[in-house]
Amino acid sequence: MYELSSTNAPLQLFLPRPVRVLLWAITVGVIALVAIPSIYLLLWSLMGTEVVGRLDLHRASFRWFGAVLSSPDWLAAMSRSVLLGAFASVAGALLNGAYNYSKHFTSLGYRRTTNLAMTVLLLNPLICYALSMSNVRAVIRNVILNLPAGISNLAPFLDTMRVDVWFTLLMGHLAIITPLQFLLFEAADRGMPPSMLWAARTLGAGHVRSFRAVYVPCMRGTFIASVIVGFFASFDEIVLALFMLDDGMATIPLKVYRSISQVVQPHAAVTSAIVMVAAGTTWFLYSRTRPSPRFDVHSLRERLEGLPREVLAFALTTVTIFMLVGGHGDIPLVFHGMVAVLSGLAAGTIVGLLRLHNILKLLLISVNVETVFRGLARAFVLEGVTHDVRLIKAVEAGGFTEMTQDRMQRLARTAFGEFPHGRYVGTDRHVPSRFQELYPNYLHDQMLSRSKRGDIRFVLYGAREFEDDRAAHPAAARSFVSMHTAAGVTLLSVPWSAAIEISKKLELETPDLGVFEGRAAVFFDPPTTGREKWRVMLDNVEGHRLTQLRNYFYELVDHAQEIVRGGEDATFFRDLDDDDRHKLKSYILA
Amino acid sequence: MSSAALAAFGGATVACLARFSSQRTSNVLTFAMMVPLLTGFVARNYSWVGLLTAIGSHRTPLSPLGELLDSRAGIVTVMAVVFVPFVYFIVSEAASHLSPPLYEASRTLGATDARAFFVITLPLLLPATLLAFALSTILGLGYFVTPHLIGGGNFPFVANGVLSRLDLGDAQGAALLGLYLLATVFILAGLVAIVRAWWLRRHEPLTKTPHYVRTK
Repeated sequence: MYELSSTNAPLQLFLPRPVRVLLWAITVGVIALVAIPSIYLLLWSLMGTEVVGRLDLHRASFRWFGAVLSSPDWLAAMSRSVLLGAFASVAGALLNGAYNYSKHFTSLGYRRTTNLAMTVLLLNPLICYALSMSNVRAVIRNVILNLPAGISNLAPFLDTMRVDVWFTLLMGHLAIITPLQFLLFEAADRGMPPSMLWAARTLGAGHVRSFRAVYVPCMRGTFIASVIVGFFASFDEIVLALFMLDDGMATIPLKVYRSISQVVQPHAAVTSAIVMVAAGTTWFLYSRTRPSPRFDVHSLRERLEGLPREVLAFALTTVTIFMLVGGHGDIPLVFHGMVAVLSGLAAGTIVGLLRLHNILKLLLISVNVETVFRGLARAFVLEGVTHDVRLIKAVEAGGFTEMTQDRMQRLARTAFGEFPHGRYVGTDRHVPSRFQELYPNYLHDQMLSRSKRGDIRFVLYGAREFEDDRAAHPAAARSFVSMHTAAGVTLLSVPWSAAIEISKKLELETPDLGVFEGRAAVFFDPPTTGREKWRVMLDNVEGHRLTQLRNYFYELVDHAQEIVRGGEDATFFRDLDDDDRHKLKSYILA
Repeated sequence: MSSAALAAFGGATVACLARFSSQRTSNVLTFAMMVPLLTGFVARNYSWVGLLTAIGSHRTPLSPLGELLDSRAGIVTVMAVVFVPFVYFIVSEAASHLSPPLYEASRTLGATDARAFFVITLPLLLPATLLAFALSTILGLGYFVTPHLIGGGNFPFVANGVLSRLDLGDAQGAALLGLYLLATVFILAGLVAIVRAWWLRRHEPLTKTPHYVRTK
């Protein structure tokens, strides 16, 4: 149930000191160079003057924010960028989804050829795209101006609307973002068993139905992620815009680019700061809420769980924005504050109830950029490691699944990786020497890689068995207790017979289990003599299962003694008093 | 290429350190690399213009750095800084596959940590670094924003050449230059693919499962 040798474990013990010092010295310099411009941008937006780069350090104000947010030009540029990004990203996601679906039914040669084509698209310099697309635009404009006699009346309208420009721009953006979205789909597609699609086809579903009813639900997260990635890639695109758009139709990046020579006021810094704050807020939301899509549940209870945090984050964001605008406007600041708080509460409630934070967290450009580049690296450098995803999906089908010890360890690694920060509450029946024989690197690797969040481990044996094992294997017992104590894990001992009895009474599948962050439970049935494979089951912790597990742990606490480490090698079993039991119960699956 | 090389060196160093640090430090370093990505590409260049102008306009020990504006060194520096996060994320993906058993095995065989670093870590990170370098070079070849904003358009870059030819109405010349650029990119990509394949073959024992445990 624990990882033998996690590849994600930190390697800090293996780096020689001189090399570490050298790496740190270079890193500090690199980070300073990378981060300082962003910090300066924020300062510039608050303390900027009419002279480029000159800051008035004694007079910070939000007047430039007010000026930008009340400027029709900048707002129009923002809306153009948003619309263009939305259209291109949605269209790109649909195209990529359809293409990746079709790959399941085509030959290897076709797939290799198309993959190569996508790689070529990725390598093509943007300036070359822009050059060719400007020619395409000229062709389209020529077609519009020479429409056939029946529809020639449309020509002035189409020309006024600049259909040639927007159509070409949309095509160009699609060409830019498609390879990025392709990488996302490619990486996700490896984890999806094609047998599901083949089963749908065998059962008589057509391609459209199979795509809509099987492929899209399975790849929902990837669709959303690719829309987000596409949106931000399109939003930040400037090369095509420079070739196609004049000043009256500029997008945000183009306006920023041109403002350096045309405008001396720090409008561009303000726009960038707004985008940065929005993206940063999204990142904050993402980092604070991290439910796993693999174990996702949609109960009302869970929807309400994250609500206060969402409300707070939205209220703070809205307050900040309104305050910034309020610094410049004529409306009293108090009014802005009230409106901000009310808007924040309303937005937070909607976001929390509709679980929109799952989408919001994907809005984080940096995370998606990271995903893209990790996907890129996978595609080029190393084979994708998607074995765990398949395993999870197989186990998720319900009931116990038989697997080898190696696969069980992969499952455990995935579960620990999926829930790295929250509390782990688990039981284990193996005495220290057997535990270390089964999981030789667990104490070393897993303890280092996990945040110390007050994990609880029930060992399902009594003091006599522990002492017998310690007499035979003193080193194993010593390291077992000391590593747990050092990592802040509470070790509780419950006799195996009592655990069996409680689990049978509560109709638990097995007394040996682990609960991750109070969200997912993994039940283990290790092999007995003559059986080679483990039986493992995965379940969400909700409803009846939550009650069942809570009662199980409560009853275990009632029968438990704490294993305490004294000085040196001394380890003793301490009886718990009522106060201890009460504290533990309020702590477990709270 | 010089900016791509600098970026590859800096980004790979940070990625390597992040892998060899605790989870918390690694998260902090990743966040630091994310910060510029939150800002947007044009805005980052714009910020450098303001920053270098501000540094150059005050008499401080740092004021010589203001000379970077409108200089070739400035273009190289800013382009390298822009590419560093890309390199970081690509190399950190490769670094995540460095596993403790490799180092435990090397210690068991008597290698010092320093030797393990040079014999295991560097060869395993090199293909990813090379890839990141190649991608940065390709991105850099088509760049015109940084040369225009930081260099003030005083230094000829291919992409700026394409733009200026178009401004002069020489569409044919612009297309020809674009074609040269495209050809250069593909030749470079081909070379990188060949070098990478050679490197992986040479270090096969580190990157592949030995044949005697390979299953069908």
